[in-house]
Amino acid sequence: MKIIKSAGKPEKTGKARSGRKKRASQRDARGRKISSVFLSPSVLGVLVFFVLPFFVVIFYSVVDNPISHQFVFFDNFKMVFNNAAFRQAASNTMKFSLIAVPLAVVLSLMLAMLLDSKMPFKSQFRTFFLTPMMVPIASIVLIWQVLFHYNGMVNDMTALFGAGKIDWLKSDHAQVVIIVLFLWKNLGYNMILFMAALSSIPKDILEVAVLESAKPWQIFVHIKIRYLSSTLLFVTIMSLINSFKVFREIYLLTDDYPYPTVYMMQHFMNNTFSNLDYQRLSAAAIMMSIVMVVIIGILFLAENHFGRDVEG
Amino acid sequence: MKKHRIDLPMPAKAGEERAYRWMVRKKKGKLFIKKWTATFIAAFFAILFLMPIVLTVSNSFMSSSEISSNYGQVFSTSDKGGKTYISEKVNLKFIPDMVSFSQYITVLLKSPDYLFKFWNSVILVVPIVFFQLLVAVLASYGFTRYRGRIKEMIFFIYIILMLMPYQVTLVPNYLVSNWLHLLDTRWAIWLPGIFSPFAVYLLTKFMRRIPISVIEAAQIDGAGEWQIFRRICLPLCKGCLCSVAILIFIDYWNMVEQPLILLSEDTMHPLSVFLSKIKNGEIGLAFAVATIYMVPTLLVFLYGEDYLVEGITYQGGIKG
Amino acid sequence: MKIRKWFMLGIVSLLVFALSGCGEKEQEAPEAAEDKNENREDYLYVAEYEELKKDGYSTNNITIGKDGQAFFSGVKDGEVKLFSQKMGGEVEEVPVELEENTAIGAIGTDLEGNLLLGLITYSEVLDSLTTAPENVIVRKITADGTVLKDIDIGKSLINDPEFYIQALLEDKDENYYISTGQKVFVLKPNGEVYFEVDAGGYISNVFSMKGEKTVVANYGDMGWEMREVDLAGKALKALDTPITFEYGIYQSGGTDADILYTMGTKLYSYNLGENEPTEILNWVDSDIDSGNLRGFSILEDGKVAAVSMDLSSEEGKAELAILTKKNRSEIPEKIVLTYGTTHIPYFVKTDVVAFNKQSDKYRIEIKEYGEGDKDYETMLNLWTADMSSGNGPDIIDMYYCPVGLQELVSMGVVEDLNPYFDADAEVDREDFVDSAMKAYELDGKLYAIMRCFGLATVAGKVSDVGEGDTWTLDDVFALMESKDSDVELFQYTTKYNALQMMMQVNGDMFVSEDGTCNFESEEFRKILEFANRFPKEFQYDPTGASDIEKIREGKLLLVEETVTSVQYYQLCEAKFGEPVNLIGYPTSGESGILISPNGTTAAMNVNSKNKEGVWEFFKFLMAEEQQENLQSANSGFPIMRSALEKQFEKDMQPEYYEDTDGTQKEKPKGVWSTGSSGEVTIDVYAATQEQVDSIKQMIEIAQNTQIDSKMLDIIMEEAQSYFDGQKSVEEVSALIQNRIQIYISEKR
Repeated sequence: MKIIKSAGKPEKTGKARSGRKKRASQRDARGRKISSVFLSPSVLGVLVFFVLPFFVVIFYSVVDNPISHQFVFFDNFKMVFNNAAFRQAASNTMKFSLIAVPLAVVLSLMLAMLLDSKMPFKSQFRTFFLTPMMVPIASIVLIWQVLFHYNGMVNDMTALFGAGKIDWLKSDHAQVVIIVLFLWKNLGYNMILFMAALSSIPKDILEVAVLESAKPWQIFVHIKIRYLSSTLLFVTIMSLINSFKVFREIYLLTDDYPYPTVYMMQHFMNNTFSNLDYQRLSAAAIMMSIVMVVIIGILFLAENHFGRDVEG
Repeated sequence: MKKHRIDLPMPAKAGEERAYRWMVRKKKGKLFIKKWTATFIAAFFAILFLMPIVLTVSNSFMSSSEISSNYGQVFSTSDKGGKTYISEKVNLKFIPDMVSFSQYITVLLKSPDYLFKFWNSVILVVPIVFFQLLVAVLASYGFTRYRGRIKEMIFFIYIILMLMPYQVTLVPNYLVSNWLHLLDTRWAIWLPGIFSPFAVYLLTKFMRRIPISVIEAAQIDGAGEWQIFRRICLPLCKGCLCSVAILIFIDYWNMVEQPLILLSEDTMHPLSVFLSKIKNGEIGLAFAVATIYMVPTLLVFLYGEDYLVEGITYQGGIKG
Repeated sequence: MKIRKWFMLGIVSLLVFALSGCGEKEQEAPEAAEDKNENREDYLYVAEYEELKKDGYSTNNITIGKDGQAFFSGVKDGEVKLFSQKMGGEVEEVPVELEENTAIGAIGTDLEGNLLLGLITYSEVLDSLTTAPENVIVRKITADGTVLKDIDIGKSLINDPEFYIQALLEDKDENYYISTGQKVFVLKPNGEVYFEVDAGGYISNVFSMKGEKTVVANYGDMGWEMREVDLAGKALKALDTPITFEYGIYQSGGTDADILYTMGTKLYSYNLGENEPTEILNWVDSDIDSGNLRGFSILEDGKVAAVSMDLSSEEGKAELAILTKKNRSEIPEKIVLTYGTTHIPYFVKTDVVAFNKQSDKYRIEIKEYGEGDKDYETMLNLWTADMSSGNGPDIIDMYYCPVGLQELVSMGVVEDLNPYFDADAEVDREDFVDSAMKAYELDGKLYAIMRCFGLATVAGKVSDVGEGDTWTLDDVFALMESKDSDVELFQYTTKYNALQMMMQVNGDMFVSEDGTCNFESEEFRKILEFANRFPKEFQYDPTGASDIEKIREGKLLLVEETVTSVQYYQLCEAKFGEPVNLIGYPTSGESGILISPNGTTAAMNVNSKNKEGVWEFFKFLMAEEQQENLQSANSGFPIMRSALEKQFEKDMQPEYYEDTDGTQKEKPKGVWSTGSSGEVTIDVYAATQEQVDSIKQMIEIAQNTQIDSKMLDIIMEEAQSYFDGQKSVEEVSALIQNRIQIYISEKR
């Protein structure tokens, strides 16, 4: 495994560093300023169109309603936190993310490895796996409804194997449906990310490993995973983001008050939104973002910890 | 891609040559089976993945009566406007009984409405993609160079903002647009789109992988920040920019809620809004519209797919 | 790779081809829209009015002449005359020589300003019931009566005794078009029938586009459609450029535009091929009730002329209005209030116009969120965004309010009206019917005012439902059990409406105070099973017995009614033919009779800057004069006690008329005819004290707690699979329980 180490962190060219330290630091200060100039348009825009609205959300979450603006401290938070529906939504969403995101990562990695092997029509397959990204949400929902309808195609198929009819969207199986939907939509993109990472593994390392009679699983665990680690985290974050985006499909697919196991945060938020209940919506949103901050923070730390050793 | 080159140790003695050949043949046979099993598995998945898109396209060639006889019960509505209470068999058909272009004729020729909406989509999305990239590529350069505590904090905030569900920000967005007098103008969609943190996040992730040594080398040669950005970062990011553009495009091409709230004029609504609310009796049309709607995405994909892969693959180019 | 490129090229060119048609036009659209909005703010059309009436004559067939004068025909004792009236002038007679027993069936105009008269000669005196049309003449005269052309068409158009002329027009080649409601006849200049076309449905409008195209607008198989008369093909054909507007009043745009039309409360002009119509004005801003419009046109000097007929008043009041465009600065300043609603109910239009006409200080402008062809979601989003951002309208319509009172209150958007009652010496809450006021009361605060109300209830024979005030689900089950299997519960009862009726007032039975629900209970399953006895779809049988016959034979037990007058109640009694009890929906104890608003119903926005003005409007709705004269637009019981009492007295007061033989006879207060071809006729005369007392009793106990509509939706949706036999009653009730539980906990 010595090869890997040497291919890891590129060694700093210490000579150049120490000699020009002073000039470099002057230049750094200038560069810092200039790089801030690069940042400024985006930061300004984000401030106005994203941060400002977020403060409005915070404001809404501590007043009794958006009209009279009576300050009520944490009443809304308490109310939302004690709400049975919110808890249900939160736990369902958590469950969904806990199952779907790892599945998406693992399956797309498997797909990527599959396509990385020698096979005909490789690029065609790659394109096919990306097609779900193109289909408009409305069509997805339409087709999913047809597939998983009580009298739909999936039940017809299972009937061929002698299984009874299942009301997919209105039973405990509903979770399966939405996880499949999520995977179907996101595997392609994740797969591309992994394929890219796989092809970036230096060939010589793999070849040497084969020469040294390393078993495939050893190559996978010791070489590929190491090299893929930063991509893994990136894919995880992207999947997490996309798992929030896919709620729109779930919402459209299942109605505003669905079977309890697929009642998601999106449902809770959408329903409170259409019931004009902004104070609760905002409180729920802030609670959700706190959880997000924690999760993303952990992922960030993890990335900083593991991701560095193969990156430049 | 050369993973499966057969690198067997060369036979040491002549007597072992036969055994070696046999081994090669055996390995080749194994590989053959492996190759086709892999192909078969990939094909199986590919069919699953392709099915919805094929359905959408093939069903767009069905006449409306065929559509309603197939899916009537899923989508028909009662007089109350809710879901219907009638139920029969749902027929999922890939091949129309009779190929009919009536849906397309309606969409393309009879009612110019759809084409206007399509055009609206283009007007809304193209500037967003272009300017979001522009703003983001600058910002991500800013995030990449001279990383410090504050920048890391800001970057973290970007990620959190990116994850906010739209319901939460919809009303505040409406308020801000109202304060800025952007309501009912395309700016209300354009501006938040242009400054969306999404592309910043992706591009920053990418740029940070560019080896520092490359930049430092340029710095030592006396290149200024702008030159480093222009001459080193941008060319390296080309592929990535393309792939991010595709993602942004798909994202905004499918937007529904923002135009609904921020543009009260129906005439400015994009086609995605129409698609998201198919009424009873319009399902046939919806398939045709969806098919037309997919065309630009398809184009973007066909054109940019290589970049999509390449964009994230650059690492190999530099290192390997 | 190559194939892919070619493929792309193909698609791109296809796309470019498809888009080439609309690109250029579209780019201009947003600017034009902005322009329009700006202008609309700056000016207003101010109206002058003139009543169209010649003493003693009743007014018919109004049309607008080229110079803004109105032409109308008047009938007095069988004598028909043509009149014209200018704004500010006297009624002048236009001399027309008519044969005996001849009526003016329609008045049309040509492009030069001449009049086209469609004259119908009848066999007998006009007033008699047995008249039959015998001959048709098309006459073209100048505005002062000089006959230019007189074409005798004869009998050829008359194919049924109900024959009438809906519209008469002429194209530039002097062909004539006569619409008779279903058909359009095309006549050659000499009067010979060239051909006739059937529109396939009732024609709403026939009009000419600049004399070149004659367009027929009607509801057909494809929904609302406009087709042109194809002279060559002798048929109706689709317009070259399709028009996708919704239903409205369409008519010729004169020489300037192809079409002039009114949709909702606005007047638009439109030329074929244009992207969008041009909005000209909002009728309500000019105090004109667009529901009454009979015609409108743009005059040469840019003024707008409109003729209207108000049928809600006792004898249709016809009016000519001339609208002059003025800068807002020229108009005496009035404080503008907005009335926000998702759709404009006709009575709101009437009330707002009436309020605006009489108020010197305020004028109400209606903001319709569902304007144009917006779908429900868009409309709801706009409405919600407006309300929550504090930009909402001053007055919030509650009749078509998309969310419940509870939501509005918890959002803090509606103002408590009780303090206004307390502070205002002119009105006293005690003067109004308590149950009607309570309908929009929550936690002791009053949030909305309704002008008048009806009572939604279920009626049955006393012998079936008993004499009680309420009944329970078990009573309904028992009633059905006691009858033969061919007895219907309601007319056309299906599983779904039976379920709905059983749940209407019973939602609270399964939902407890602590936020849990119990739809898995035996009680609810019993309801489902009960509903399942009925057929899934009813077979409408046009030849079958009428509901009255069925009721009287005991084959039909209950009727769902919304009682809006004493006469309605009497009718109900008469239908049943024996003592009737309007017992209401089955409940678990409280009354099953529901108060339902039946006229303008509105709340005050907390953010309104002119709350006094809003209160003025509410006072206007509650004022004695308005309460005592509900007219037909606002039908139902007035909420003012004294007005209600007066109404009752009037209902009990017999009216008489003198019959041909000189005897006094009681005049019926209402005549209803039902049955498959109107063979059953019920006359309703003065009410008895008992009848009025029953109504009073009903009003007294009526309440306003219906099942939450979302809950009902979920129940109906899930019940379907049980009714289809796909799931057991246990499975379905468990599903309903699960879904509603989420709904309830979310709301808490």
